[in-house]
Amino acid sequence: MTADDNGLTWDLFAVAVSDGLVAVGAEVPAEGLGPQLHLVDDLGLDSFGVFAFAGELEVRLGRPVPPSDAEPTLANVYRLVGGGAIGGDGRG
Amino acid sequence: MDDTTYSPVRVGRHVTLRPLRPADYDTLHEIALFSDSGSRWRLHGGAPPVDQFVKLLFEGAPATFAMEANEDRRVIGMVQLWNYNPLNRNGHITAFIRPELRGRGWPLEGIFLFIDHAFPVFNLRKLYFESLDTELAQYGSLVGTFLRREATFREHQWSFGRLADVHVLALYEEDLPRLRRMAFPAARPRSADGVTA
Repeated sequence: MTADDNGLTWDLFAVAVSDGLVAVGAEVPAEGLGPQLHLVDDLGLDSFGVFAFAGELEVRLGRPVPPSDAEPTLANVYRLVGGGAIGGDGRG
Repeated sequence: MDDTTYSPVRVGRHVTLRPLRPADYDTLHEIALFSDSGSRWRLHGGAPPVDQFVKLLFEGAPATFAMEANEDRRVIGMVQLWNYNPLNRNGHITAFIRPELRGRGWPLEGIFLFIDHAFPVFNLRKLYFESLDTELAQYGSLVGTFLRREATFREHQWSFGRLADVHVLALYEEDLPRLRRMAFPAARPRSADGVTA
């Protein structure tokens, strides 16, 4: 596990993601949250769901989620919010 | 809201809503005709040249706005009030967004800025969203939370080789405060440059 300068690790991020998903009425996969998961294709959010989820994530992380053209995967969102390196085990 | 509430230029955290400039026409024509965005809008497969596209764009639309990304000033789409009926205090919202930004979430801020502008300025009671079943998937989670289902026309519109259902949804005036609280929460974390909602 690698933390960035602001102390955000993948595990902390994943907890915030999980809470944020529940807050917008989405299901958290029983097998856990991996960086490859896509907010739309895998987690079932629509455009409004992504908008609302970003807001919930900002509140939980205490930092903004900047706009991006990148595919909305958890790995990309993690990078956007300044997360540190994701561990080599593929789940951070 | 502050005293800029009724300004036609609305600056959000990620998106600015502003009236169209003639320089936007080519960009919007490009987005609408060279992707599936226009077909999802009002073109339905038609491919008018720029001048006819612009005529179609403004026809029956008392308010048409560009949505611009704050980060790079790029026009990301268009949103407008269409079929406005001042007597009955209703109208339709139509919009299209660059296809590569579909599913990104943040461009929706432009739509919410427009809604926030249109209701008081046009004294709206209801704002209608008309959508084919295939498009509804883009914002289906709004249905029942902020949008009320008004009608469904079964196999109503010929769309690329099949008759599609058309759903008529409405945002009611009384549901607007809840939508505002969701779209523009008072307290959001600030970015490094201090920008917030």
